[in-house]
Amino acid sequence: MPVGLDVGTMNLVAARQNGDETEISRLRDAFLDLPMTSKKLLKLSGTDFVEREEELLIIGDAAMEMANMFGREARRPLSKGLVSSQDMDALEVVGYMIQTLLGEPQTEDEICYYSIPAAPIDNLDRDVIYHKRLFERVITDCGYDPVAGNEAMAIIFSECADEDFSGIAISFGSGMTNIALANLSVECMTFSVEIGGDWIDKGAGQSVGRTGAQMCSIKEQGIDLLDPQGREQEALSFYYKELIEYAINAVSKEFKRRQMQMTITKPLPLVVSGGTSQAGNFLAFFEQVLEKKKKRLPFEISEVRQAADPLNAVAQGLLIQALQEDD
Amino acid sequence: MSFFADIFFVEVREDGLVSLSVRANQNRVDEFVLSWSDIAPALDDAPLPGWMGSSRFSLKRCDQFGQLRIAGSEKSSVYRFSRHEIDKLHAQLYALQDQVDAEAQLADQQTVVSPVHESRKAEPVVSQPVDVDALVGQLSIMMQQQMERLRKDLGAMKAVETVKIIEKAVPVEVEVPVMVEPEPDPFSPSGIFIPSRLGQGLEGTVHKKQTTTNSALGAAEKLRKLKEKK
Repeated sequence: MPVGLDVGTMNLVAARQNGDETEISRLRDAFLDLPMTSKKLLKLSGTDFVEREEELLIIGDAAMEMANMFGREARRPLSKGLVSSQDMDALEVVGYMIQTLLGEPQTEDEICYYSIPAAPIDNLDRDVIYHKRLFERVITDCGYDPVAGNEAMAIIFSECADEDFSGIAISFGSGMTNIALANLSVECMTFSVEIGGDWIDKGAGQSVGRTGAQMCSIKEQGIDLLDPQGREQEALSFYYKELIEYAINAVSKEFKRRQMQMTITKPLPLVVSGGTSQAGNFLAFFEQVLEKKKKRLPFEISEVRQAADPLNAVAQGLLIQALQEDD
Repeated sequence: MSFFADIFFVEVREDGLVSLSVRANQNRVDEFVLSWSDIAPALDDAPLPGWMGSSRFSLKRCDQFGQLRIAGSEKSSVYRFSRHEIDKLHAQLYALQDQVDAEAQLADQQTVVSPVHESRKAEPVVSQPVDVDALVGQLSIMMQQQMERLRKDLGAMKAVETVKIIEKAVPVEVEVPVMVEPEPDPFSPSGIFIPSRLGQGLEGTVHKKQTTTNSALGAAEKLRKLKEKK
């Protein structure tokens, strides 16, 4: 059976169809390197680890938890949505993570649709070629047949089946925000902007004298964007608003720039997804911001909704595409 | 046209006096010669509001701007600059303190009754008139010479090629190895190094979270039907 793999800055998610259910495996895209002397402590605490030459690696959610314990910051193989060619250390770990998530292929030439972001429109120096080719190779090395799929388009496939796969998807990720506009399953416009959840954490953190990791933790403990409590949460809500405005403005600007190539005749649903959209009351907050910007959008929006499962929507959308290849 | 980059220029002269040039505007520089005893009272790291200094040389420093007043025998000159520039002048004068030696102190006693005040105007650079026709003529001659040289080189290269062909025409039995061009690797765009077997050497255990979610089969079926319609 084919598999869908979401390669995100914060999470790696694999989706595989098993009978009537879709099985999801998720691994936090983070790791922590520790000296060999920590082995006993890790064994005592029951923490999973991986050995590499003269060091130990804690991978996934445990890395984030242990980082706090050791007063360190967990390392992230991806930055702003893309992998860095310079950090070979991190590349090796991300390779291992994908190998762990995918496991052995169950059939020969098993297809794996993996997500890639669109090139950011606000940083023309960054492209996605290296990122795309690197994961293509990692997945090939795992014994799968890799096919790259756009991250935001995957959300259209998982969330807009009732609208014949027409709509606008905004994937508020950790490293970047990806946007796609599709009509009858055909990709009309995809692009990304280089800000996302990490940008919110960093900016809000700087404003109130906290680190990005601390703000991320505050965010994940639960925040109500419509009723922020305290300075930290208020700073986070300011940055959320800024990010949403930036994304909506980018949609409007890009659509106008490319409008010669497409015609939208009916109102489209707008789906928000991604880990950053999991904050409390995100949808209502998004609608508030959108209301003020709606007039500027060059097309009509029929409905604004959140993906049913924002963390797994991309992997599921990729699986839907992969299942087409399997027929 | 000349351009004065710095607003102030200060130096200690051989006679121990301090020469201060002030850029009044882009067309004028005022020069003053002052004794150290005139300047010293104006130097203070923690200035008080209002004018500070001697009757001949004083500074006034406010939040946003600063002023410099230099009194001559007949008239006084007052300049207004940004606070930053006045602070820079203060620092430059402060740095001169060490250079003012005993000889300067002596000269100080003799002092100048009134500061020498001289203004100089920036003089535009007088350029030679350019004879455009002559320049164009020279350039075309140079181009012709260059073209001629290239033609000669090309002729020589063709001659060598002809000799090579004649040499090749001599029948010699040689075993020519068949060179097969390697097929371009679509996974490796030229100029990009992509490592392989990443993470294959690592061993250990990693905990991954596993859940189930809504089936993807329904949407996959709808997508298949839509594609069939098309």
